[in-house]
Amino acid sequence: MKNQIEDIFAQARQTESELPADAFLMQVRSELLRQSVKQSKQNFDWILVLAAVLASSVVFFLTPLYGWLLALPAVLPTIGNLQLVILATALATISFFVFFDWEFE
Amino acid sequence: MPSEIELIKRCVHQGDVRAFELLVEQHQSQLRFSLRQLTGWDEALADDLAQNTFIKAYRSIGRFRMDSKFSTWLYRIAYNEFVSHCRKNAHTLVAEEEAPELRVNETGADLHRDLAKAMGYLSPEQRTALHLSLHRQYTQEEIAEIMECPLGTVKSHILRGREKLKTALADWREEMVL
Repeated sequence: MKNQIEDIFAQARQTESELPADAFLMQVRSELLRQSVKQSKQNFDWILVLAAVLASSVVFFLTPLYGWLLALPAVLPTIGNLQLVILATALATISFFVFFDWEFE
Repeated sequence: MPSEIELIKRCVHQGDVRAFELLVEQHQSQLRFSLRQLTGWDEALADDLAQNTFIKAYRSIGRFRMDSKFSTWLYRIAYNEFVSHCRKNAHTLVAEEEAPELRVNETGADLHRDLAKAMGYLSPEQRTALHLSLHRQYTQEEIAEIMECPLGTVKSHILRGREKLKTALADWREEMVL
């Protein structure tokens, strides 16, 4: 039976035909492109978040309170959950220091 | 036609996508066929796994150290993809309840499908070890490298896989003898 099993595999090996590459290659190519676009978008999102934090901080100092309200609606729909958490943390941290600065004054 | 090493170097040093496509062209058929054998001849699933394998290979080709064959490295990624899929979808790839019906005197295509179904009796590890050993004719050391397990474990997978397959193919043997 040992040889029988080997014969079956040998037969399978001999009758294995080349699978056409074109359609598969197209799939791989488009998936690579899709992931590359996704990566670029994520990078862009991060830049957007950093820019938003910076911009809103500046605006915050110029026009206390209203600055957040102006900056957030434009940014929120474009970002993911993790980025949202980081943005919220950044804003909370800035607010915290600003609040204490005010208190100390 | 540039050599495989040259293509890999072009991918690593120049990020040459065309060079990677040539590597895909060279290896896609064998890899997709192997994955069809391992997935019970589920062509769509096998192609998805093969696609993920090549995408991961492209992303991490810089880590390929060239101390083994490129195909061995590719099979290692494919095996990890396959095992990870099996873990996530245990219910779809468990051994089949009914004995597969292996047809003799058929075309190769039927033999491949039936053999893939018979392999469904085996665990994913046994399937892989047996396929790589008997179909792809890798050495047991290479299989251990692909499956990232000790040589003794590979030997055990092959031995037990053979035993199970013997039962699954018993009817087929009788027909052949007759």
